[in-house]
Amino acid sequence: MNLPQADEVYDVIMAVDGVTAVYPARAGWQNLAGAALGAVTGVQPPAVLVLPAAGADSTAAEVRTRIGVSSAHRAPDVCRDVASAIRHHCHPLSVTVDVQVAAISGPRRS
Amino acid sequence: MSIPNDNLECGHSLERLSTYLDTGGIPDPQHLEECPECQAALASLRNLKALGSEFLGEEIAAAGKGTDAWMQSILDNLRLEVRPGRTIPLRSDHPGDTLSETEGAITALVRAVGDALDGVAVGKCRLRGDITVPGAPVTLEVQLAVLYGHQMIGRASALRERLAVALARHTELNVAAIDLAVSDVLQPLQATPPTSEENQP
Repeated sequence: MNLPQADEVYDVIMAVDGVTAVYPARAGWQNLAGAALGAVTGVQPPAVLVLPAAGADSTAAEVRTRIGVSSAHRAPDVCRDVASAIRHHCHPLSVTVDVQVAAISGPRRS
Repeated sequence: MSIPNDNLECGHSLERLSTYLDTGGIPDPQHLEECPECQAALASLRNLKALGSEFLGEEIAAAGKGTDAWMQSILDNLRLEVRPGRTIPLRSDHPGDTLSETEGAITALVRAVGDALDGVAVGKCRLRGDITVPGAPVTLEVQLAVLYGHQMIGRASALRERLAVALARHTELNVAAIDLAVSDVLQPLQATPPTSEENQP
């Protein structure tokens, strides 16, 4: 069974109500290396990581992403909605999902 | 405004981001769209620059005079606060999923809530307690400046109320207390007195 394409998963995440951005899901040092590489090659690191689950057969995968959330939506609910949308998209593949809220847009000045 | 030159985790510095706000130039503009820490820092720097223009004057802010010490303390804190920091767990509907928020996202939210309130400027915010453990009691500590002419107690009460709503809405933290300390009163620019020539008939 093929793993889902990262760009497809990206579109699924961005379609969730309240999601304002999808940020690269790598660790800090990898982001730095990726940014440096991207500056040289013009190739940007993927915003969504889709990995085969460690030690599992081809029916399991792991999806990692970081998101920005609109303050008009409740951030924890958006986070759960994203996980659910990813799982729904990947069905019947068994997936574990890692979603981190990295930014919440603030209210406007009163 | 004198900006600390310490880098964020992504490698950018507040100084470079401040220059970007002034000139629009930065080596890797694509990065700004992908980096929540830079976005949070830019939002705060924009607010600080607006505040500086309104209350310090462009020249004074740029020269590092007047109440610039207050600005410097904000910038020093900002460098720490925009970093991802600790991971705050969120309840998941599915076993095996890992859902979370970064501490930096929450402190940026706190700063944005404060900055959105008229008459208030947030100086420093910290989440005290073990935010990595669900249900552990957490205290939010915020230092703020109140702009001259605004009632301190009233502004602090309004801020506390808004912060409580924002934290309840956007986190699953067990917020035991929100401690506010007014550390400064910012005075607006004095009206420039007319020159002697202008007084001439």
